Amino acid sequence: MAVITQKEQNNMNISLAFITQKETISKKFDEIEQLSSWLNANYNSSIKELIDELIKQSLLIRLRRYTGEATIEKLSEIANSEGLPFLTELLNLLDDLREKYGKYGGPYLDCVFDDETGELMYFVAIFQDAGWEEWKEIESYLKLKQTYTKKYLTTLCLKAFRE
Amino acid sequence: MNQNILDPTEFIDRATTLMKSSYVFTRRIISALYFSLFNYWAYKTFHDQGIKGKGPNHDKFDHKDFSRTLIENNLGPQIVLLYKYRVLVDHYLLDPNIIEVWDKEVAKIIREDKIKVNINESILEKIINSAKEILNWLKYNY
Repeated sequence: MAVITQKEQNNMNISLAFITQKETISKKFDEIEQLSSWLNANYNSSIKELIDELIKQSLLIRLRRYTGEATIEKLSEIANSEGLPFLTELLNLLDDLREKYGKYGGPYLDCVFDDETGELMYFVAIFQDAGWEEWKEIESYLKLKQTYTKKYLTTLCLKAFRE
Repeated sequence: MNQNILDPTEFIDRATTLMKSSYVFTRRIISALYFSLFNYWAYKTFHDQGIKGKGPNHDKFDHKDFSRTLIENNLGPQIVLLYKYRVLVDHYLLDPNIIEVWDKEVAKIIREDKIKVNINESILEKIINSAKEILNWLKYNY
């Protein structure tokens, strides 16, 4: 096992301090991400897993702006298999969609299930006031920016059903 | 078994001409459009892509994988619209009805008049066009 220097110990103490300051995690996101990379390169996987869990919780807290607790639970499950890039990209996409298409009353994130088996099929970013043409435009914009969420996230524009 | 045996091109053409002949036809054909495409996708997945499904013959596939394939390939609006209406006509009776929003906190935010839908001429056109766009993609790009 590698000897831990005083400087490294200090850095570890910083990481542990984050655990007791959950409410500040969101603000510290960038630092935590950098710390995670550093720990990954220098220490064992358990610390990396701990930091990843903190990052995951931070991202889920931010995603609460767009959805309810039930959807957050489903996102957490998908993130367990798809990893943190899934959540990071999802948050960035929703922020981006809000900025560009927020005038259409959204996005609000919801789940769509297989009506026969109850299995989660995919997530939808709902816009209340976008019609069919806007729907296709928003979807095309979204698809250009997706990597990790490409098969899981699409859009649902409610005005298209009423036109 | 012929590779094209489940190609629904002719079915979709003929079914859509009958779609408006009665309300029962309308409802049943919306459902059949969805399932004809689902079957075709499953068949191509099994035969052309050599992917095994579930069941004793490995020929049973999930709706979620069908949807995700289309979503991944820029057909999100088409499959979401078709699936939402397929669920409405297969599982719900009333018309007008509502598009279900699953997350209760999200549902509270969205006004009820925004999710109230019915089966009308305009939506049938969108459903038919969506089915044909999905078919074309499955036929030539999948």
